[in-house]
Amino acid sequence: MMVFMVLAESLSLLLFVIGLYGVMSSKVGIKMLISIEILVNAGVLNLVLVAGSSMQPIILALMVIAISAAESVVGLSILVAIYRKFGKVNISLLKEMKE
Amino acid sequence: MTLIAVPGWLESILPMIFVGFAGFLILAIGMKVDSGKAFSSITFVALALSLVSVVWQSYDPVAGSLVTFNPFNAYFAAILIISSLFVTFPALRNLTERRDIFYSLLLFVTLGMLVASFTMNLVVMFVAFEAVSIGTYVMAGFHKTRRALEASAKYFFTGAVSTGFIVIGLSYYFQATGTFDLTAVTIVSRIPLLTALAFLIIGFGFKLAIFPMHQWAIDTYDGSENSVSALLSTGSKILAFMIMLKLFVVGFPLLGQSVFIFFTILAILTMTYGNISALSETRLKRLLAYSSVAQAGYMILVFSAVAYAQYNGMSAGYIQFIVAAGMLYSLIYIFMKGGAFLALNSIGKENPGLEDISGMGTRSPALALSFTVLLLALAGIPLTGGFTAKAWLFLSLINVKLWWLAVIAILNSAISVFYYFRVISYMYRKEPLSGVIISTEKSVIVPVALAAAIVVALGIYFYVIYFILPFVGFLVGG
Amino acid sequence: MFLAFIFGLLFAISLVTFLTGRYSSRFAMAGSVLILVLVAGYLLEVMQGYSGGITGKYSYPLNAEYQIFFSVGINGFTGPLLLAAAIVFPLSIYISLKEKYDGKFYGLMMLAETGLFGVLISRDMILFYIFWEFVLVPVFFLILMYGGEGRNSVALKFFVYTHIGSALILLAIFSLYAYYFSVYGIYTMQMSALTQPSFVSQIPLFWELFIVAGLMIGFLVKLPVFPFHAWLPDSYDVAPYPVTVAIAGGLSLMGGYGLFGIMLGLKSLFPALVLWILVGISIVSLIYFALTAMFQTSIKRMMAYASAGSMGFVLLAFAAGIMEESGVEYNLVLSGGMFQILAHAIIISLLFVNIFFIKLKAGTDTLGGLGGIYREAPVLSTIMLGGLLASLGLPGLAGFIGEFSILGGSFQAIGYLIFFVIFSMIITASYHIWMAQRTLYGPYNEHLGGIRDLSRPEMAVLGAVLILILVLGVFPSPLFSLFSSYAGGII
Repeated sequence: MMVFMVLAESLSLLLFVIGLYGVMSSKVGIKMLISIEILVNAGVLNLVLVAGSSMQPIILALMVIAISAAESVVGLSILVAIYRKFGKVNISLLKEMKE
Repeated sequence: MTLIAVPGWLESILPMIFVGFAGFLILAIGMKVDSGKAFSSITFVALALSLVSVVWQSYDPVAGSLVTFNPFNAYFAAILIISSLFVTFPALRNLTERRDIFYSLLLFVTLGMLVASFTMNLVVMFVAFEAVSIGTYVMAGFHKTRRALEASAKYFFTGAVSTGFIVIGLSYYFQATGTFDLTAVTIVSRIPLLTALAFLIIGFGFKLAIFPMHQWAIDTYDGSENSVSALLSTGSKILAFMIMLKLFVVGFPLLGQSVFIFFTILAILTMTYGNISALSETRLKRLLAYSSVAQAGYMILVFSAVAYAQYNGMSAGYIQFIVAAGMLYSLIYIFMKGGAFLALNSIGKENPGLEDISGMGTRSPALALSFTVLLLALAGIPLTGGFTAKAWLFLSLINVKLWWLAVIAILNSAISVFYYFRVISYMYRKEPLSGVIISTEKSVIVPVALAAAIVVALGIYFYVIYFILPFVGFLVGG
Repeated sequence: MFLAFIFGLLFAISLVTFLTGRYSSRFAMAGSVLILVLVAGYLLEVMQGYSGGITGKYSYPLNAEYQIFFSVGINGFTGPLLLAAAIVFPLSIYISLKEKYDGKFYGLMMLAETGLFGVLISRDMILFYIFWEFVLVPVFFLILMYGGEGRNSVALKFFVYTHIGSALILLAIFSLYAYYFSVYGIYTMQMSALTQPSFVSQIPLFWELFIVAGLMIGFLVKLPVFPFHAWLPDSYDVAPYPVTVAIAGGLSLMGGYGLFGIMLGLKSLFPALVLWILVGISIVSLIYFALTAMFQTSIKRMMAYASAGSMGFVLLAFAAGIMEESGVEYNLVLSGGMFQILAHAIIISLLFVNIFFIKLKAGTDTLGGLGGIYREAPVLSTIMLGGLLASLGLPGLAGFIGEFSILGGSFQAIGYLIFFVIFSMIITASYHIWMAQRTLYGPYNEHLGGIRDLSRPEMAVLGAVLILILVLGVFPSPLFSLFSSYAGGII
């Protein structure tokens, strides 16, 4: 059981790192969104792992799934608006304020 | 764990009912008519009613853990409502389409803030916090200019990453303590708690814009419309501050030293970075954004001082004093910062620079005076609220014998005078340097003047902290 | 009670001045004269038979539970300073009538006076600090909005420089407050409590140094003395003349008040080494300012350095007085220092007022541009000469009393270092005389054209101030006894 916990928590950390790397290295909006999903799901996985007999983390995990869906919706619509304005969804285009 | 066990429960949730109901009402009306005046008035009335019902109700300190109605929580609820109230009318100015959506968003964001205030449970807090975040992502990009979209995208991506940090931090927190109820933390296992500490500081640190996690804030405050920037840098920031206050003051027993080290380093870096970057900044909104990074640095001094007092075994009186200083700071901060951002509404130019406000002193004396008062307050000059806030904060640091931290903070505050006064000196130049129109409309001046008046009042009544001190007892016993 | 009333009245006058529009100059003039009369009358009443301690104390409880008071009061030292401030401001407003200024100007002037009064009468540390900082704000705006060439950067420099000094004062005050709580378990900001000897003697060494360093640096910046003076010449130079008079005569009281009004109560905190450093700083600044003043080409700037030079005497008196600990010399040197603060305020105001009139009538205030104006304007030149002689310390005038008592009293403490002080006095005297000779006497500079002398009202005002200086010089004993009973009460 102990070994399983350590392995599973390592998996969730690994997922987290993958997600973080994806967000930081990618320039394309959609890829960043997907990476963020991975990032959040690492958290969800960990929540379920630490739950034990308690229901509280499970509730939170369900909430997080719902919230991350809502977040993706907002993120996608921001990307759509950006696409309409700039013609691309490449985040590196956004340099207006760096002058 | 039930909502309805509280006597007078309806009275307690009345503030949220007002706000939520008005939010749906505006959406419903918005399908038929599009009248900015009506929407903003409804929003204003709902928020005002909500504020009244927060302030004028008798709090029963015995309550459940999911929702806790006590004066401490009500204090923050009132502050957060005020921060929304302030942007209600100014926001109308630059709003051209879908005004109903904007105002119902504002109300739902406020609802999230209220829910987050009235709870000590991390699950509820997280959900409410995310509600606020998602609402503000939309508000930041609502005006769909290139700059606003850039602001919104940056805000969204960093915000989403910080959500990931908070979720995983919460999971470790549960592993360490076995509960999400902050009032019931008893058993603690150290290593997961330390991990949770790191993740949660980063997660909430993004929202508070403390040093390594601040870059989005500069661009977002810069790119968003002025009143949205005002809301982001006041309401959204104070919300993160309040959650951190509950989390780090109550939720991390036995870990005082680590909390202290983390926050002290972050606070010093944040203050210094914010102030030094602002020194060379010539764009007004970016200057205010850097200043709000620096202000966040002062605010998180509260956590280091509390942790220091905790692990040195100082009595609860000291801790209460520090927390009260932090609460006072957040109250005064919303007026200073919100007012300063709203004052920029008068400048008829996007992305104004320092030279664009030259001549404000002659063209619009009332506005210039109010803006000056707010900048003086941000710089911490006596007889303005900024001095009251900073003085009590630094005093509480010296009280727990963190004199060296107080020295760093005061020197920082002395440096900051330089850039605030540079703005003032541009304002009172005799000869305008650019042909930018400075508006003298009442709708611009009134909120700024109101903020300035409140700031002065809080500065004159220097001992206002003793009003706040009794509230702290509901967070830190003793 | 009456003191609080005067203060409230002054504050009300300053707020109303902003609104009076084109009557503001006359209103401010009348208001400041009214305050002068009230203060003079009040002091005559209260200072009869003064024998140390605080009189006219008034405390209004803001919160009884937490022992919070709005408390004001004066003593034998701050009373005369209050009078000096009340004299300087009508004078500066009087000369501002000769030029065109708007209501904002007069409002800010009166606000500066209010802040100065607040500093002098506060008996609560935080109140004191609030006013101490607050005075800077109107002066900043006065320089910013009405100053001459380069006003933006000079105003900023003035504010930032003095603000950093004040921030250190705040730290020291907080340390006192926090330490008082840890000793007695009471939160209080009352000056009388925080400076009482039984408490001060309990402060451990580390906090001692922290408090002394914080307060002293703050006060020395304001005074100013040698390494902390960078704000002074520029501010005096760039500010319009009325404001220069107000800064030089009024605000310079603050630094002196900080030393003798506050630090004297904490004198047991000073280690011997710090006192010797202070003596060193004072001597260096005496000589440095005297030498720098010699090489100035504008008389306004020259007098700015002369003003800073006299402040070296004040610091010397302070350090030497603490070294003496008690006895005749203690009283003599401390009273001399206080007298010097007061005399300097009045003399330097007179000098700047005079230079203003020279500038007004001759159109220039540079050394090269003037010359021999005695021929055309004898009265103006004579009053100017009187001011200069008082400033260099001629016996019979007010400047002499302070400098002489400081010299006589500090010899015991600092020994043959006194030689350097005398040396600086010689330089000071020589450049004063040289300046008088270059500008007032000698051959007339024909480029100036005709100069009109002072009109009768102007003559009356300036003459009155000169007579005051003369009276203080030949009849110093009433003031001196006030100062020495104040100093005696501190032991």
